[in-house]
Amino acid sequence: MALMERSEWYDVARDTEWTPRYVTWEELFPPELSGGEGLPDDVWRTYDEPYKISYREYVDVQRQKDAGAYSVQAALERADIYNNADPAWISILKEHYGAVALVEYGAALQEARFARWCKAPGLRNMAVFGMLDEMRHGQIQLYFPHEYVKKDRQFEWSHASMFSNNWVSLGARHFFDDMLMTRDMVSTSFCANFSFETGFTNLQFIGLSGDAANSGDYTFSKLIQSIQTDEARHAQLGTPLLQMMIENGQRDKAQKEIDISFWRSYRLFTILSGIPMDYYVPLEARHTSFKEFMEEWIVTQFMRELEDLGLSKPWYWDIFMRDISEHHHGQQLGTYSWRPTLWWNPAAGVSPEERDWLEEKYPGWNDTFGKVWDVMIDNFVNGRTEKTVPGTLPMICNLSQLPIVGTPSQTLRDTSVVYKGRRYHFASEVDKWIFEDNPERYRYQKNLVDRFLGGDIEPADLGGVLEYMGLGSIGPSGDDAHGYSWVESYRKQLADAG
Amino acid sequence: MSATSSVSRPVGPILQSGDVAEAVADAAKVDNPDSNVEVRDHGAYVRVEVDGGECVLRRATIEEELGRPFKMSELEIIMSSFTGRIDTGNDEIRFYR
Amino acid sequence: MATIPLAANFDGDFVLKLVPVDSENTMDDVAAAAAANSVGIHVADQPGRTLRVKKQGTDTPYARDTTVADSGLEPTECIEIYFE
Ligand SMILES: [Fe+2]
Ligand SMILES: [Fe+2]
Repeated sequence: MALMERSEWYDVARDTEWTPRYVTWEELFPPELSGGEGLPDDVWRTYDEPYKISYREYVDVQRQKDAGAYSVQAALERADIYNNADPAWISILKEHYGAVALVEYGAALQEARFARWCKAPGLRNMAVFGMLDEMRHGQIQLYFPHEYVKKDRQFEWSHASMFSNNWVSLGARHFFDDMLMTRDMVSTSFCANFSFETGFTNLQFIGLSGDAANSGDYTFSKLIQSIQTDEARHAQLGTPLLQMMIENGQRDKAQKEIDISFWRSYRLFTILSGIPMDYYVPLEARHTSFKEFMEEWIVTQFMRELEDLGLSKPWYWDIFMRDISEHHHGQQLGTYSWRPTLWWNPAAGVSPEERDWLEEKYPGWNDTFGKVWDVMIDNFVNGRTEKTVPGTLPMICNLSQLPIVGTPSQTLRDTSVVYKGRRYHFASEVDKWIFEDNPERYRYQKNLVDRFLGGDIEPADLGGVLEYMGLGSIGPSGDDAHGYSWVESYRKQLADAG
Repeated sequence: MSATSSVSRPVGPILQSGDVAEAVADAAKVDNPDSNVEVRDHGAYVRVEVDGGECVLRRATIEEELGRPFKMSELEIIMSSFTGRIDTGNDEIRFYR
Repeated sequence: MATIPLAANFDGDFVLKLVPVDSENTMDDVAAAAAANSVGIHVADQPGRTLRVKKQGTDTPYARDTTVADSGLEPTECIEIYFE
């Protein structure tokens, strides 16, 4: 017997809606969890998910995706990427898995909350698939690094990082708690499905897959693109909700939530994607800069989706367009300088050839960020290694939890406010705007510097900070990915000149 | 590699490189005869961009290009992203603005 | 005598740094404390030139013998340090 076309039965099957008799509608869908206040009750039934799939199709397709990713991994095990790839590539894997794997389970909870609390039956149905997607992402991104743990203890962080007080984890947790875990369903959908998944995950999961293939790591390339095929589907959950908001007079509210989540996502991805793409990917495999990936996926593709819906570019667009050429260079200097605080071994990425590449992609780099590297390189060349790690902490943003950086002598500045007697510092005007929009939401959180000054970290020195962050216990501290071999060319330059 | 496209209001899938991606890119040209179709190879992924705000892909065309049976839902296995909105059917998938 | 942590923006550096100083320190002491975390680490030295300190957002530097207590700087406020 031939199967019916999906379109013939789909509307009936997905519509698991009923009229509650034992509780009120408000009790079934409390506003603080379900959101969408002010939208007419009858609008939810009209929600029509654009990307339709049946359970039968879902299982079939997901099985094939997994089979593809796992079979590539199995086939390439003998290629021994761990020993044959550039060490900086291995650092990308460590950073990625530690920052991403556990967070996927958080995303599964987020989708599960949609499946329970969303007032739109069509969305609840698709969110169940989204939840299963995210569980797959958690599992597969723990399974793949697991084979490396026996070779390299830093891979322990793949599972452990989010349970630690490492500063990168503090930043990631603050972000994901804010975006995925603690808003009502409708707001969460804008933050997670729209800004984060329709926008920024493409950068890491598709952009970086190109770098992976160029670097010979087909396993990782295949894995992250496979994950993104799920994202492409469940990211679509948010679009009809945005439309409903706009059609019912709540455009400004939606725009503000996009503005907040867009900036927060962007700044997080300067660490996750920006640093690896411009400094870790081996030069011969590095065809596209972070800025160019941003232009492709965000400035062009994401903005088109936004404007098609009748929304606008965020109010801080000019700040953002300048920032994509600057901010991640400061974060690279910071992460590399404080490398003992990392769970991966950072690459400096500033050999003479790499500096030429940076100058070409970011004109003016040598005269700004490059000047700081000159001082560091001079220390390395002359054996003053102790001067290459700062003896104090950086100031850290009370929103993004990232160090407050800027272009030397140009844009480095503190942005701070005093709220109810406490001074808060921010890494940009936009971070401050987000805080001030809802200070009660953010005021109680303590960043690493607050904890340090408040006596939570003992002893109050770099050693105490490292111990607090789990470095040395979960896995070894970060050190130069190439064992400082890149310094040789500068040493030779010095010898030739001398 | 330029990030800006020469097609206006482009829509279409972004696919993991391989034989299915090639077949879909060819099908896009067949199924959208009146539009400019640009296929941009980024190595690990391919951008298929169809001009004018609409891209139709028919299952039958993909089967023909591929030389084997193809279920429309299989497209998801290699579709890491897409531009525009999507409309999914058993025999046809449509991207639009 | 009390420790006051300040946020130091040393001209030429790329990051704000936490610099704990004492309320009785002069601005020359403060500049030296900030320099210890920046000069020769992230910023090139400029021998023979004097370091000055001003509060972020102001145009004139503090007198070199002003103490932190007299300056009115509050914990974690941002100062700018530069070679004169
Ligand atoms: Fe995911
Ligand atoms: Fe997701």
